Amino acid sequence: MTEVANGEGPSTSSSSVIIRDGDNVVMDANGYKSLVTIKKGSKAKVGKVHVNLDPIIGQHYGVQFELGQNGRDISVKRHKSDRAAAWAAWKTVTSERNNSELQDSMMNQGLTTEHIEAMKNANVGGEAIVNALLANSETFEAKTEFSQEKYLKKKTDKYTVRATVERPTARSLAETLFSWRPERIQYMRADTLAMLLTMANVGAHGRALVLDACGGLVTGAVAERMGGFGQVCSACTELKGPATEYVRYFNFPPEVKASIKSPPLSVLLAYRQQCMADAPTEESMAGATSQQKEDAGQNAKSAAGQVNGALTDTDMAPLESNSPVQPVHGASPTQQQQQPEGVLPLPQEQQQQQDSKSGMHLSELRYELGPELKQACSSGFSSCILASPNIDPSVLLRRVMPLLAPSASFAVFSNWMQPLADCMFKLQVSKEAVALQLNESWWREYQVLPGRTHPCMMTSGTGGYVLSGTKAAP
Amino acid sequence: MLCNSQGDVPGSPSTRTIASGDLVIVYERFDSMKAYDVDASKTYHGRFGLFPVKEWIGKPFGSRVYAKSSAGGQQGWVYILAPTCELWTMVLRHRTQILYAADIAMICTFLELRPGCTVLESGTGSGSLTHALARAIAPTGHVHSFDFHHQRASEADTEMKSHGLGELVTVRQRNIEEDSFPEELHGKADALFLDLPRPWKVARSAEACLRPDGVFCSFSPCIEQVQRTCEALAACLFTAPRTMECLLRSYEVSNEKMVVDLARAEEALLHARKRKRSSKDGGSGGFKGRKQKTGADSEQAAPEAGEGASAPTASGVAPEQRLAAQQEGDGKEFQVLALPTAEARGHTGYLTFARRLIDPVLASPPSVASKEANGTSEA
Repeated sequence: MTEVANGEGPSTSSSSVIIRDGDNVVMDANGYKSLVTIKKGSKAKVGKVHVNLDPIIGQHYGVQFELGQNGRDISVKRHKSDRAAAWAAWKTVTSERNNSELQDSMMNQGLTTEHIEAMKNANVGGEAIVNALLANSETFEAKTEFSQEKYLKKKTDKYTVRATVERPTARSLAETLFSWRPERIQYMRADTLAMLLTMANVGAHGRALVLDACGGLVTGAVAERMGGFGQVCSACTELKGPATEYVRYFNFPPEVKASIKSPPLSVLLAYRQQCMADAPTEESMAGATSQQKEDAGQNAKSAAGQVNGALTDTDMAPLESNSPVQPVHGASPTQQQQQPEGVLPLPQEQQQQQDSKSGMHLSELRYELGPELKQACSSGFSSCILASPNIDPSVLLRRVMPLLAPSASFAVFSNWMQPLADCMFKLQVSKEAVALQLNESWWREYQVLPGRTHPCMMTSGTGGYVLSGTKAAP
Repeated sequence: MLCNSQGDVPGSPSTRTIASGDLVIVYERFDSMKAYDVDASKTYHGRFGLFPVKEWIGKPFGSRVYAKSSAGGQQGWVYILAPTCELWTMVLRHRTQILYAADIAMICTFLELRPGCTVLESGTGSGSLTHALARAIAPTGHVHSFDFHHQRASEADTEMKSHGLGELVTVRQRNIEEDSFPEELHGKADALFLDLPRPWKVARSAEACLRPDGVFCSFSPCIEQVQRTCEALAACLFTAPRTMECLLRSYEVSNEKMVVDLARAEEALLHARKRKRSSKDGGSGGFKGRKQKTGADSEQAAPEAGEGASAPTASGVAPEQRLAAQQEGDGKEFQVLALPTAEARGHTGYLTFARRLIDPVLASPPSVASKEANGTSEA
């Protein structure tokens, strides 16, 4: 009700905070997160069991429920703010007990597996089982308060499923995918995604160019931040089809969906080339800068062709055409995607492809750029995120740079530092970009409890590296 | 200017050229940037010379502009960049301690901000975060920012307006710890951020302001503050508390000469010594080669290329020279290497997040406990 009263923005209207039939949600079951689609009348997986989630349709996001022991009945719970009492209690705890007398033995627990199974079948509820376990434990009383609490939590997690339904956002999806399917998102951690969005200056009314090998997570995160204002151009290559898998999990309203376009990168580059042909002065300048960027050996060879201002096909040829293994025209999408991304287009090989205008694929030529993308191509993108760590960032950035507006912010993600360091050095030398930074985000969580505050034991070692900078005008 | 807030897409700063009255970031080198209001009648005095500002007019943002003249006959240059929140954070005048990129990125993402959101902030401080919040909720959301310091609040308010963010941000003077957030904001906030010495005093007010499932965040340098804040949150209608720390580990990149052929390097060194003995001013040993610089632009080349690097390393060495050095046969090779910056921020603060509880639609009649809960939720 409160959210209806305030009509300040389209995306905070009540509809997006209420769970609807057909929504994709993040399901947190005892701390384990997964992605689930809510469909009236059908079952979805929660924890280890499949249940009908009809009772949560119409609930507010953030709703909690418990599963019955039969794994069927779900009961929506009112959140209890009972931690206050726990805080007060823990503050006075000064345990004198220790575990010096504890013996590890199978006999410590009086209940047998058969007992427990019987209770489960009788559907007495998780709480009852846990209470029975406590009552039949020889050692529970002797444990310290701290380990009693741990024991209790462990058993509760085992015999009850408490789930929370989270609204899918860039944050919740990034965290879920990082713990659930990290390989699908190139092991990009949520804090690193946050850095990319910030360093690339993603915001409403921008024109963002994204190369997303993270299954659409980055594309979705950019689209969420822009909320349908401006253009999200998630360019695809022959190596990587359009990144859409996780975009749909954001439950975007139509206006946001409409702001996302997935043209082939080569089409963008071809259109850009066409624009520059109309403005000869600009062209020769761009030619000069791309020349600077080349490596020494290549530089010497190709300089002659570039001094006169003509951009060689080397610079503008579609990325895919340089791939040693050329995808066959009729190849099925799956076949193309199976092609390892590790097969990289190397700068040297571009030389051999010098006059390969025919390298463009039929499907790409058919892609019709809309007026917004044409506008973006001709005046340049204002933000750029490259999250395709299996393509050498130097190669990729060189290709993409002509598409960026002067003073555009860009951020490049990689799991490895060295390719980004090389790329940064090349940019320093060519002076194509300024305000360059190579960063790694460091992140750790804390357990905060009375008398027991400390960093969490388990943490991820790395979430990837980010090279960021601002494009200098040519 | 900031946040692409000026009108529709074709008019945004990146496609527009520089005009009088624009805010630009003058980029001298990686460790030297300044915010500057473009005024065609003025001259910009920088470390690389005097720049007639009228020459900047009509140039695209991101352009390199040259000094009129400078000492030593070398012509200096700077870049004039379009302002972004990140650049602004680097150049702004500190009225207080400020939040930096890593924390700002975390806060915007973990508060789940998107266009249309209403965000509350206290205190405003130097407005470093405020700009990023505005960018994230533009063009349809709003940031209500409060600072207990009169001058700071009014300065920040003026600044927001001059940056074209007046429609998106309201800065007011108010002591949030003592007086809480204004009642008219109850139940209106999608997200709320506190950077206060005693954030626990604001837990109740935060509970009242946040919508169901809205996100709370508090930034505190000390763990004792975190402890008390978490305790206060536990007593209010909040769930899923999380405390975290995030930092940026920054790397310097430079091109360093490394011995790759030990025998050859030793030989070259012996040679050099012999030559030095025979003629007193001869011999350029391999080590001196480290200070090579790139051709005509040498004046600024070294600092320029050394983004993040401070020492006079060979960072400005062009690839051609790199190749030449290898062919010298001194057994050394240039390699691009990354090194964590010597001085790094070790701690900024702890971020504590929590979510406002919701009132679920229950099938069974509400219990006594839930009535209590209703009483404390917003009216």
